[in-house]
Amino acid sequence: MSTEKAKFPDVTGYVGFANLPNQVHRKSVKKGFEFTLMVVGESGLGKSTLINSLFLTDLYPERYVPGAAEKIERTVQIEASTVEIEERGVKLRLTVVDTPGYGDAINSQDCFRPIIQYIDNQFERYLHDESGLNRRHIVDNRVHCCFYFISPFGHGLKPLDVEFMKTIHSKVNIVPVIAKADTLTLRERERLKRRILDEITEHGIRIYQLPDADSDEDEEFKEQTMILKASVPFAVIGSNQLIEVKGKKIRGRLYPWGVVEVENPEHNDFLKLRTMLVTHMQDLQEVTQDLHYENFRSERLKRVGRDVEDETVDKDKILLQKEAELRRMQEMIAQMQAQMRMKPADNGDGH
Amino acid sequence: MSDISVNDQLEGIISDFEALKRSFEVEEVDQTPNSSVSSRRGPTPPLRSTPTSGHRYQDLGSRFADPTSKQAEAPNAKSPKSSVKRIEITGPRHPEPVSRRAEISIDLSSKQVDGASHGVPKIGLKRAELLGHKPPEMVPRRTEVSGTKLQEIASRRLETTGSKFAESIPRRTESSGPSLSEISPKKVEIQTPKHQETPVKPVENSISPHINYQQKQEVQLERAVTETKVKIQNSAENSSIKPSIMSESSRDATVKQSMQNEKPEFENFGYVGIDSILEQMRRKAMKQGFEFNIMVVGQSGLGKSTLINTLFKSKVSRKSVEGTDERIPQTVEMKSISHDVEEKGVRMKLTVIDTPGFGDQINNENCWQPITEFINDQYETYLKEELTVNRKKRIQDTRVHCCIYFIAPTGHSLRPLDIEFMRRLSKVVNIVPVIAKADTLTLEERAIFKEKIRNDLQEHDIDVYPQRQFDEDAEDQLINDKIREMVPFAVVGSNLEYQVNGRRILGRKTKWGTIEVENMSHCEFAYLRDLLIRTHMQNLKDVTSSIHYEAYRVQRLSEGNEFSNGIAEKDMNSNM
Repeated sequence: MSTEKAKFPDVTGYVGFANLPNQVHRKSVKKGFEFTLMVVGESGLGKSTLINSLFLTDLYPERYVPGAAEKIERTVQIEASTVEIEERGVKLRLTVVDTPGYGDAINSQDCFRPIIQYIDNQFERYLHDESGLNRRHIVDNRVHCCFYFISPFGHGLKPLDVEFMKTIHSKVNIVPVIAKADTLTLRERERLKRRILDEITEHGIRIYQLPDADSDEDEEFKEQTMILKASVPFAVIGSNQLIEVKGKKIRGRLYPWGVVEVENPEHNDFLKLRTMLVTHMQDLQEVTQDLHYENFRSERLKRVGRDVEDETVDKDKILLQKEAELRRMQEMIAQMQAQMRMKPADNGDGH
Repeated sequence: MSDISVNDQLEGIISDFEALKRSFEVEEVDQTPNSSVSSRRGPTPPLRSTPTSGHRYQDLGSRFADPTSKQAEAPNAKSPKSSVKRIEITGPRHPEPVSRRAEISIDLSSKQVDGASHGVPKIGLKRAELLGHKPPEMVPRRTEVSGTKLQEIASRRLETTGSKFAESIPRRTESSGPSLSEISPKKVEIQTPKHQETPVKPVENSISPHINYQQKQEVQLERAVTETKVKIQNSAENSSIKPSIMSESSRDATVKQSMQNEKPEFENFGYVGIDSILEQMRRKAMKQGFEFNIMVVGQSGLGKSTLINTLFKSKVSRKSVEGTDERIPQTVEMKSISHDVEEKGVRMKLTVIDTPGFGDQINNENCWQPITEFINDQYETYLKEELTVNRKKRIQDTRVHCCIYFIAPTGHSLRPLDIEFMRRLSKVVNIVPVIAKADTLTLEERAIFKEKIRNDLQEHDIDVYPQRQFDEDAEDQLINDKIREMVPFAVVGSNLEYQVNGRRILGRKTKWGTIEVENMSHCEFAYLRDLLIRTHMQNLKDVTSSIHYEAYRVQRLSEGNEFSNGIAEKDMNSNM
């Protein structure tokens, strides 16, 4: 009998836990996805246009671009706009955080402070929610990805770029993007990309690394990932204007010398950027959760711990003080008692 | 204007200047160093040497005889003679309109301070244009000649040429200082019209009036400078004879006849020879050479060095000399590099002052200070030289004549740094703002951006070159208004040549097309070059020396006085 018990039943049939991913899928589709994207860069680099092109929406319908006089007075502001996009039943709640005023001022020393504060606030809020009692509906507003726009006009990274990225690479996934790439010829583009990558390694900046494709993925996916990895930083052009080219209406920019097509992989890396964002959205969220948020959390908690220690030290001191007081009082009482005993004796003798 | 009246007037004027012209022609022949020029004169040197009417007409004849050869010579041009543009309107016009046309550009090229190698091709272009526009303009031009002042002609030219402001610039030279050095740079103007249809090419020539009168048939646009200004105006008809006039053979023939008849009579009186001073000045200026100091300011990577190389068609920028060191310096440095360039016998000492590090740091406060200090230092040096007791005959001029400020093509508006810089520096130096790397903006974006920039500049009271307050007269204002409408110029620079439609042109080749640097419909580089080099170079120097430098000098000397007074008072007080 025992031997029979020991025998495991034959697994000839299909159990069905292969269905799990489908269940997860259905659940997440119902829940919808959330993604927060931050765009940082000097004004005039085409950030808004690119965002509109990427998501095929008009996130900035009534955009007001301030004149130079106003720019002198302004500080960096943080503007978050949210859109709900739906595609084939899948809902995405996309928040785009814009940073107008970055790099505009003559003295840009303080221009990253508001940005860092915003990111920390989002982490703080999430931490607070996570530690709370009701953890059902935590709204995840943490910044999952930051597109940093590099100007194509320079020779590489500017000092401001380097400083900013060094400050922020431990808090958010940085994806460097070369803006307005139609300024560059192919050769110039390659040179600039190489230079930027060199400078990034030179300064020890950690940008978001695309994960390697798993070995069990199909070849096409693996190759795509390899191409994507090799194209960082992406040189993009944004446009929402439709231009007629060879009978087709495509998005592009019309110049007297030709038409630049946004979705033409030979002209720029826009398609690659979009592919990267879309296929790695999940991964970006994971890295934010596992790496940046955890970093933040441990830092935060360590700080709190230090506060508690300080308090206990104080308590000891207070105890000692109290004990000393007590002893003094006891002595006083003893003295008074002694005095009282002596007085009645005098009175008694006087009779 | 009727032909008859024209003829009458012309005759009167012609007679006055025939002798003058003859004398100039003689000089020309003697002085032309260029073999080509002399060869052009080749057929008629003996004629020239003797100022006789008969010879002159022989000259005409010979000229007519080989228009093509003349044309060939034109590019090489006579150096001593200010661009004498001989546009011969001769009887047998019809058989060879083409060749005659060709001559129009003859001397223009000689004056161009252009890359030496480009003289000929430019002329060719001009010719083509002239040819193209010949029929419609012929008649009106002819009428212009009669009795209209040179200015009128110029204004008409302006109309026909559209925005070519260069046309009237030679006029300006007339009214502005008589320095012969102006003539040479002004000659550059001749090139500018090349882009446009006007066949009329202002030819600066101190001897122009004479030559014109002498040969009515020859349409020579010559600008006499100051001394001969009056004459020119009187003889406007003659000098304004534009190539278009060429078509009017009959009239020419009669005029010629009258000229011939009258010449011998007036040869000997009325001509003193005052205008020959122009020639003397010209010769002196040629010997001395010119100086031009240009400063480029802008963030790194905006294409400053490339633009300078493109402007002067040679490797004069800091990058070319020092090698590509692309690291961003910690503070703003001032790097000054001088080159001696020569074109068609005209020597120029070109100094390019570069400012690496401007606007590149995180904190850019006061990054304009080193630049202001540098400019003031140059003024100071010059002032000291001027004030010494034994001063040199010719003080070396290191003052910055022009500062090109590069605006990043964001498409939105000017940045606070741009405004601060331009506000401070427009008071001490001529600023020419340009939109760098303009191939990033579509035409609509470009127009919007320019409008915004102009509004910003106006709002902050920044007066860029050409400054409105320094316009001398109505014509200046007209020309400068045209320039001001185009400021800031949207430029694209390039050092690389590509083949486009069989021509080799400077440009940038991308997958979606090739941007041609000198194509006016692509970018405004040609306008900038014309402004800086071909038409307003002398004006830039004049404004610097007579306005900015004088302001500095007044300030310094009054400071000095105050200081000395203060000390004196203090002494007095202490004594008391």
